[in-house]
Amino acid sequence: MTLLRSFPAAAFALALLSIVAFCVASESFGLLVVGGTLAALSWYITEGPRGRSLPRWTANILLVAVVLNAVVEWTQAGGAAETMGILGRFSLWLTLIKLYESKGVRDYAHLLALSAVLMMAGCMQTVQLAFGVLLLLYAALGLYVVLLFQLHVGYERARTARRSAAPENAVLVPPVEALTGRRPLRQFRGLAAATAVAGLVLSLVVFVIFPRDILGRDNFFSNFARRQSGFSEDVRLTDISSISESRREVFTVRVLDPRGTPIEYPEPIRLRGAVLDAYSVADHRWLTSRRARYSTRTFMTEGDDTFVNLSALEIDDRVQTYTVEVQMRSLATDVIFAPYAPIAIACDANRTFLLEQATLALRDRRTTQLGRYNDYAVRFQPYAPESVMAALTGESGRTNRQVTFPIEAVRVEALRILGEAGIDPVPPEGADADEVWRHKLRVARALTEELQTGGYRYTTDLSDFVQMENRDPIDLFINQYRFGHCELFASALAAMCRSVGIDARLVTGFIALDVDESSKVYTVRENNAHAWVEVRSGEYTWATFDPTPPDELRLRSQANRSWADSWRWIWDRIEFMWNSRFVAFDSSTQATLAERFGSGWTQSIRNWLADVREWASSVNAAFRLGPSGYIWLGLVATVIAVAIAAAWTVLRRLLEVRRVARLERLSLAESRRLLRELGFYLDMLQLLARGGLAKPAWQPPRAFATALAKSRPDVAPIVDELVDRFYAARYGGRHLGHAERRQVNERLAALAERLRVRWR
Amino acid sequence: MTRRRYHLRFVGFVYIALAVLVGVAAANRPNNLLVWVFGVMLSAVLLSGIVSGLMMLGIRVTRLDPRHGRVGEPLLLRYAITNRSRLVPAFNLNVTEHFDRGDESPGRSDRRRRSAAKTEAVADADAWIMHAGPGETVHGEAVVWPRRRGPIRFDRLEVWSSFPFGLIRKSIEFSQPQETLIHPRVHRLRPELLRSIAMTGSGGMRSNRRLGDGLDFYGTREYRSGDSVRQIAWKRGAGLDQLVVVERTQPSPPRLRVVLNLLRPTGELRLDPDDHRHARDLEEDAISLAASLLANAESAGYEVALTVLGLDVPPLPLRRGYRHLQRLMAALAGLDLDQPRLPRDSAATADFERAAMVVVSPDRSDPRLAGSADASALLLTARQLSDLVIDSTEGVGVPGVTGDGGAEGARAGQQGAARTRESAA
Repeated sequence: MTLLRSFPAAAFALALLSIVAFCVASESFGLLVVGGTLAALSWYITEGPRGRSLPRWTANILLVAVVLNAVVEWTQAGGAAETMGILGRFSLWLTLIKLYESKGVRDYAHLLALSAVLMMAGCMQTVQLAFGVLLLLYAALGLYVVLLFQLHVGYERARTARRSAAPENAVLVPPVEALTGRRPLRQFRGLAAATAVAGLVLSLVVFVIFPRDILGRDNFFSNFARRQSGFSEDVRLTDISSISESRREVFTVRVLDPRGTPIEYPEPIRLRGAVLDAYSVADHRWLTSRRARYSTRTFMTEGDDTFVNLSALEIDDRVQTYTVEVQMRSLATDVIFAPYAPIAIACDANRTFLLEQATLALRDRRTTQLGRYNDYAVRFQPYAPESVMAALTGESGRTNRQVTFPIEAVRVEALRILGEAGIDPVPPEGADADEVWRHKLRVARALTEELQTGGYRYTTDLSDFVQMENRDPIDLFINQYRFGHCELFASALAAMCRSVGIDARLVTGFIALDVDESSKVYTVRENNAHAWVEVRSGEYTWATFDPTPPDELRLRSQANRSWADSWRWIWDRIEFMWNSRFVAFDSSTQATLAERFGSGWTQSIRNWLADVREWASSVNAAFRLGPSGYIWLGLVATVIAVAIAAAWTVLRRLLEVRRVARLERLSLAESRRLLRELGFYLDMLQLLARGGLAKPAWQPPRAFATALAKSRPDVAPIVDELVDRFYAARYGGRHLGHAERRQVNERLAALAERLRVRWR
Repeated sequence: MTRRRYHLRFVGFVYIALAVLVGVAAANRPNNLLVWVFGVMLSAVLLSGIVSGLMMLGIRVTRLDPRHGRVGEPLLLRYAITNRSRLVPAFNLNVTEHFDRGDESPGRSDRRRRSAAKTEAVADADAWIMHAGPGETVHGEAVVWPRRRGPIRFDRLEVWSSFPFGLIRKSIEFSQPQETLIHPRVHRLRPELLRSIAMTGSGGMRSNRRLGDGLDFYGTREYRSGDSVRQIAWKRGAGLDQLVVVERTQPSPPRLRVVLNLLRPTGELRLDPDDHRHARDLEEDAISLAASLLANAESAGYEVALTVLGLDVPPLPLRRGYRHLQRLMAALAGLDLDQPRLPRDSAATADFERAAMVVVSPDRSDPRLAGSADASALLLTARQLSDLVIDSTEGVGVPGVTGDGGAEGARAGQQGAARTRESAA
C-alpha cells in the first residue's frame, strides 16, 4: 500500500482509538459498545465494496440533534467537573457522524481535531494506566497520521490547483502523480520514528521541569491515593460509592515472628492507614483532628534495612515483637500501613518518616527518594506495655478529655443494648483505674457483639440506604436500616462508645486475610480495604474492636475470584510503576531529580577518576614498576588512544572508498584489492569538492570528466587521466603498480595546485 | 541568490493557543497526563521548526529550460529538486513559480496578486514534489495555461513546505530569471477552407520537372533489372524491340503564403457597434487565424510562408516541416502590436512565387492586397474566425494540425494535383 493510500485507514484507526480511549477514561462500557461498534462499522459501510456515505442533509440533522443533546446535558450538569464528560460525549457523536460522511481534506482535518478533543476530554477525567497506554498509542499513531495528512493535503491541493488553473473547456489536464515505492515509504517511516522519539524525549523533559506547585495545587498524590485503592484517609458516610469490589493487588505482607521466621498470623492482620478521631456531624464525616496531627516525630532510615526505633526506649525482647514486611504492588501512597502498635521501621532506602504520636499513624515525608513506595518493614508489639506506649505517644497520647457523641439517638440505642446485656455504662464507684479500663472494654465488647450478631446485615450495596435530611447516617444505620458496610459498622461502634463516655476512634486501612500457606505471604487487595475501631484501654494504650461480622469479611475477600487473579500481579506491577513514577510525580520528586542531576555529574566524575586511579595503582603494583610505572602507563594509554584514532580514520576512509567506488557487491578478495588501490579516486573527489567542483552523486565518473572539460579545461586533463585509471582498475581488473601509484600521487598534487587547495 | 523565510500559519496560531490553554489546565488540575500532553504539544512546535529546518536546509531547485507554450494549451515547467542533505529526506515540497510582471510592487498582497493574475498572460504555478530522498535529485512539474501570446519572463522560484505538522510554512526563494515565448492560439479550421485555397490560384499540388515517384509522365528509358513490370511501356518497347520503362515526375506540394495585414494602427480599426470586442482583440484574433492557417496547412502537407504587413518583420520563405512552422509561430508570437505601423511594402506581396495566398486582416479586407487577377488571394478577417473554426473547444489541447483537417488537406492536395494533370493534358 502506498503512503497516500494508507492515509484513510490510518485516520480511521486514530478515530477509533480515540473513541475507545475516551470510553475507557469515562469508564462507560455501554458507550464503548455502542460507539466502538458504530465506528468499526463505518469503515465497512463507507469504504467497503459498496462505499456508501451519509447524505449531507442527514448529517446536518444528526448534528443538530447532537448539539441539542449536549445543551440539555450541560444544563442538567452538576458542575464544572461534568463539563469535560459532556464535551467528550459531544465530540464522540460528532466523530461518528464524520466517520459516516464522505470525506474531503477538511473533513479529515475535522476528524483529527475531534479525536484530539476526545483524548483531551479523557485526560481531564482519569489518570488510569489503561488510558495512559492508549494515550501513548494515540500520540504515536497521531504523529504518523498527521504526517500522512500533510502529504494528503499537499496532494489534494496540487490536484485542485491544477484543475482550477485549467480553462473550463480544457480536455486534457496533466495529472499530479504521487510517488510510490519502498524507498519513500521506508524514509517516511524512519522520519516519523525519529520525530516520535525526539518528541517523546522533549515531552518528558517538559514533563519533568513543568512547575507543579503553581497556584498552590501540588496535591497530585493525595487525590489519586483515594481513588486508586479503596482506602481513604477520611470516611464520608454519605458517599455510597467508596467501597471497592476490585481484586487488584495493593500490596503483599509477610509476618515474621520474634525469631524472624515467616508465620501465618493467628488472626487477620489489620494494617492501619489513617486514624480518625473526630466526627463532623455537619457533613457526616470521620476525620483526623488537628490535635492528633499536632505532635509529630520524624525518623530517617539509613537505607540498609536497619530498624530505627520510633521511641527512645530500647526494644524489650521479653515482649512479643513481630515484624511485617510490606511490598507495594499497585498503590502509590505516602501512608505507611502497619499493625498496632508500631515500634520500629526499616527501609531499603534513605527515607524520612513521620510519626503522629497521638494516633501512631506513620507517613512518608515525601522529601526523599524517587520510587519511595517500594517496600518497608515495621516491627510491632500487639500487646505493647504502658511504658512503651507512653514513650511512643508522649503526652499527646494520654487521655485528657471528656468524650461524648452529639446524637442522642445513638446514646439511647447504646444504653438499650447495654441494658439488655446487663452492663452499666458507668464504672462502679470506687473502682481503681485498671478496673475502670476493664469495664470500658467490657462495654465496648458488648456493643461489638451486638453489632456482629444483633440483626445487623453486612452489605456493600447501599442503594436502599436513603439519606434523610435531619438524621445522621449513623442514627439511620442503628435505628432504621441496620445494614451497611464496614465503615457504617465501625462508625456505629465508635459513636456508641463515645456516647457512653468511652474514648473510641475509627481506623481505616486494610485487613490481610488471603495467605499463601507455603510462602506465608498475605496478598492484600483493593476489596480488603477496611475500617474498624480502637477503644482506649489504658492511659496510653488502645484495644482493637472490629464490629464487622468476620465471616462476611472472609466471604467478601473470596468473592469475585477468577483465573486472572494469578496473573494479575503483572498488570499490577506496571500500574504501581505508573502510579508511583508518573501519576505521583510532584514538586518534591522534581526537587530530588534536580538534586540528583546537579550532584550526580560531579559525583560520577569523581568516582570515575577514583576508579582510574585505583586501577592504575593496582596495575603498577602488579608489575612492580615503582613510581616510574605511572609514566609508562601514561605512554601506553597514549599509544592505545593514538592507535584507536588511527584505526578509526582508516576505517572511515575505507568505508568512504567502498561507497564512492561502489564495491558493496564484490567478492571479499576483490573488494580488499580495490580498497587498497582506489584511494586515489576518493582523494580526487575530495580535492574537487574542496575546489568547488563536487561530483553529483548521480553522474558517472566519465560523464563528470567530460562535463568538466567545458567548465574547467585546466583541470579536466588530470581528472580525465585519473578517471581512466579508475575505470581500468575498477572495471578492467588492472592492478596499480608502485610506479603507477607514484604517478597518480603526482597527478593529485598537480590537481591540488591547480585548484589551489591543500593536499596532504 | 536565496532567501529563507518562516511563516507561522493560522493553524499554527490556533495550535499554540490550544497548547497554552492545555498548559493552564495542567497547572490548575493536579493531572500529570495533562502535563505530558502539554509537553507533547510544546515539543511538536519545536520539532516542527527543527525537522522542517533540517529538511529545507539542503534543498536546491533549478528550473529546467522551458519550451515554448501556446495560448490555451498547458505549458509544462519542469524543475530539478536536489536534496543535498545526507540524512534527512524532504517531503511535501511545493515549488511556486513567480513570473516577472514589470508593474508588480514588492508589497503587493497575495490576494491582489491572484486577482490581478486573472488578467495577466500567465498565473503563478505550483509544482508538488512528494519526496526527495537524501542526496537525490528529483523532477517536478508545474502546469501553466498561458492566456496571451508573447514572451513571458520567469523571475524567481519559491520552494516551500509546511511539513511535518502544518504549523509553520518554511520557504526558500531562488532567483533564476529566464524567458520563453508563448505562441498564438491555434484553431482547427474547416477543411473546406484549405480546399478552396488549394483549388484557387496557383498554390495547388503539381509536378515539377524532376525525376520522382509521382504520377505525371517524365520520360522513358531502357529497362534495367529491378524495374517494376508495371512501369514497362509495352507499345513503345515493341517498336524499339527492347524493353522500355516509363519514368515519372516528382510531385510538388501545394504552397500557401499567409499575409497578415497589420498596416492599419490599432486605433484606426473599424469596430462593429454590435461587437463589444476591443480593437486589440481583433488584432489578436487575426494573428490567431494566421497561425491556425499556417498550422493547418503545414499539417496537410503544404509548404507555408508568412508575410506580416505593417510591422518590421521580414517575410519568411516557403518551407515545410516542424522547425519551419515553429519559426513562423515564433514570428507571430513576437509581434509587438504597440510598435508604430510601417507603410505597405509592395515587394512584400509581389507575385514572385507560385503559391496560394491568404490575406488576414483584423477588421476589414483590403482588395488591393489580393494581387493579380489570375492569382487572386483569399481575403479573410478576424471576424470570420468563429465561422472558420470547426469547434472552438476542440482547438484546445489538440492543436488543429492533426485528424480530419489533415486528411481533408491531403484530399484537397490530391484534387489539386489531379487538376494540374488535367490542365497539362
